[in-house]
Amino acid sequence: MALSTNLHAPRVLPVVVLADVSGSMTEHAKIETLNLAVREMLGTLAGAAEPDVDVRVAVISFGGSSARLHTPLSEPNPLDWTDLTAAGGTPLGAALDELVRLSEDRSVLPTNSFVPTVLLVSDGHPTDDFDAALARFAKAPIGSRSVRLALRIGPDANVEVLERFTGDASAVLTASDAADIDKYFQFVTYTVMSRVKSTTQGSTDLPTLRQFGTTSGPLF
Amino acid sequence: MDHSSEPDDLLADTDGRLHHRLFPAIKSGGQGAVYQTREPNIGVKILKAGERAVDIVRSVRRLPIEDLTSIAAPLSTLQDRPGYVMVWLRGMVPLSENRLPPRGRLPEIVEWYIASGGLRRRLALCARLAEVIADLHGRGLVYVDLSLANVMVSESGSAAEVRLIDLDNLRSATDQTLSVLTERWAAPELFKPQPPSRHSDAYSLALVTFTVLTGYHPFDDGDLVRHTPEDSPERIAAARGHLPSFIDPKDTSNRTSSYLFPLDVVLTPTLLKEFQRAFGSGRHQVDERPTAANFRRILWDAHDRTVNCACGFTTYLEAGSCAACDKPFNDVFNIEVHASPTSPPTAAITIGANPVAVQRRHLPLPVEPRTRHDEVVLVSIEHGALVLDTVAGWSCGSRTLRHDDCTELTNDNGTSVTLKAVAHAG
Repeated sequence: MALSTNLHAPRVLPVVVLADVSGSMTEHAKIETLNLAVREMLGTLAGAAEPDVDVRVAVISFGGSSARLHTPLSEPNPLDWTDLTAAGGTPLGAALDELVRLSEDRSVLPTNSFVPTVLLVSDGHPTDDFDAALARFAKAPIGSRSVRLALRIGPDANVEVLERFTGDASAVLTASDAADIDKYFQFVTYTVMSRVKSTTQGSTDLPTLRQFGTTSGPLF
Repeated sequence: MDHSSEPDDLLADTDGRLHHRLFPAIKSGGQGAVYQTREPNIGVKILKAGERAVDIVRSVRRLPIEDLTSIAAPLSTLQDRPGYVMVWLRGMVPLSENRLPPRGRLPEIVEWYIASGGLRRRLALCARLAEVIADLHGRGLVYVDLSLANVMVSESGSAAEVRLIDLDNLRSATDQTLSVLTERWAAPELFKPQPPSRHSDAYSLALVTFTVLTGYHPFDDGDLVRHTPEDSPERIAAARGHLPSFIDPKDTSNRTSSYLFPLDVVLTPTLLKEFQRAFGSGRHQVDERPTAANFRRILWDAHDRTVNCACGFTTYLEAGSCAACDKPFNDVFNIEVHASPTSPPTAAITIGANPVAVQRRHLPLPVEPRTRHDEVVLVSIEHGALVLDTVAGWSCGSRTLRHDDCTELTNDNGTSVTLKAVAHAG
C-alpha cells in the first residue's frame, strides 16, 4: 500500500484594517501607537494557526487626498510591516471604495472565505464624499457580510460617521488616549483568534467586549 | 499600558475562593466560554447573560454522575456573574488538536501523525469517548452537545485519557425539552427542532469520531459544501441532513477530492460500513445509527487490529505491510482461546508484526464486562515469538510461545483458559 495525502486548501479568514493617517494622527504619538498595535496584532495572528484556516490581513491607509492598499491581503507577518506615516486630510470615502475593491477581488478572497472582520480606526471627519462611498459600500456584498468594528480616536471625532459605517453603535468605541488603541487591537485580535478556533468547533459565537473587559464602568 | 481589566480576571466563587482565569478561552460557544485558571486543577465557565449558573449546577449535581471521573463536574458557582467552577485536568487539550496537520508534504505529515499518536491512539481516544457516552446512556442520561471542542484529551501523544467538559446540557433521557445545538455536530432532527436523545448523541459521536480518524467532517468537507461561504444554503442543507456525506456509497454529489490519508488506511471495513450507515439512512432514521455501545466495540476492535511498525506508523493488520514504509508484517500468529486443552476455541485473534516491531494486543479472555482493555492479558510479538505479559487478575507473568505452543492461564476467580499459538496461513 502506498501512502498518499491530499489536504484541502485552507479557507481564508480576512481581517482588514482601515487606518486613518490624516494629519491629526501625528499628535500625542497616536500614529506610533497605531503602528505598534498593528505590528503586535500581526505577531499574534501569525501564531493563530488552525490547519484549515488561513488568517489574512490587509491594511488600507487613508490620508492626504487618497486611500491606498498599504498591505495587500496576506499572511500576517510583523517583520514585513512598514510603518504608516500621517499627514493631510481624511479621505474615508476613498478608503471604503478601496475596501469594496479588495473584497471583490476573487484572486485574494475566494468565495468560500470566512466573513471579513473590518476594523476602522479614525480620528476625524471625512474630507471627501463619504455619503456616496458609504452608499456604494452598503450595496456591495461586504457591506452586509462583514463584522465591522470602529475605534474613534480623539474627543472631537464624529461618532455618527463611524456608527453609520458599523451599523451598530455598540461596535464603535472611543480611545481617549494612545493606550486605548493598543487595548482595542488586542480585543480585535482575540475576536479573530476565537473565530479561528470556532471554525472547528462549529460555533459562530464571538466573544463580546463585555466578556473580554470589565463588567462595570467604561471598557477603556 | 492600561491594566484596568486585570482585577476582573480574578473571579470569586460562592465558597469564597478566588480563581484567576487565563485568556484566551479554551472554547467559546452558544452558552458561554470555558477558561483555564492559574490553579492546575480548576477551570471556570463564564455563562452568557440569561443563563442561570445556579440552576445548571444544581440540575447537574442531581444526576447520577458522582463516580464518573471522565466528566468535568461543576464544583461551585461564581459570585457576581453567571458562571461556575469546575474540575480541570492540566495537560489536556481539545480533541480538535489531533485532527489535521499543519500544512506540509507527506513526510512532514506522517511525522506529525506519528508524533500525535498515530492511528492507534486516535482509535483509543475515540473508543474511550464512545465508552464515556455509552456509560452516560447506560445511566439514563443524554450528553446533548458533543463536539470536538467539548472533548479534552491527554496532550501527550502516548496517553489516551478522555474527559468531557461542559455539562450544561447533560440531562435525563426522559427530558423532552429542546436544547441548544452546535451546528456541524448536531443531529439533523435537532434542527426541526426535536429534543435531544441518545440517538442524537450517537449521531454526534459518529461525526466526531469520523472527523478525528479521517481529518475531515463527513458533510462540511465534501466538495459540494466546502467551496461555499458560511451559512450558505449548502451548509444549512448539510446540517439538516439533506445532503449526502462524502463517503455515501450511492450518492456521490458531495464527494471530496481531499484526504489526510486514504480511507482504507484509517478505517476498517466495519468502521466504514457503520459510518456509511450512520450518515446514510441514519440521517433521518434514528434507530439506523450505531449506538455508542456499538461504536465502543467496533472502535476497540479496530484498535486491536493495528500494528505498530518500527517506523512509528500504525496500520491495520489486514494491510499486510506498513502503509508508511511498506515493511511487510511477516510474523503473524493466530491465538486461540480454549476453555480446556481439548475443547474447541471460544475466541481467536490474529496478531502480526514486522521483524523489529512490537505489537501489543489484548486477548479476548472470558472477562465481563470487557470495557477496560488494559485489565486483561497483553500479547506481543518479539523476535518471531509470541510474548504474553502481565495482567491484573490473571496468573501469567511473562511467557514466550512459539508456533503451535500452548499454555494455560488462571484468573483470580479460578477460571482457566488454554491459549494456542497457531501459525497464520495468510
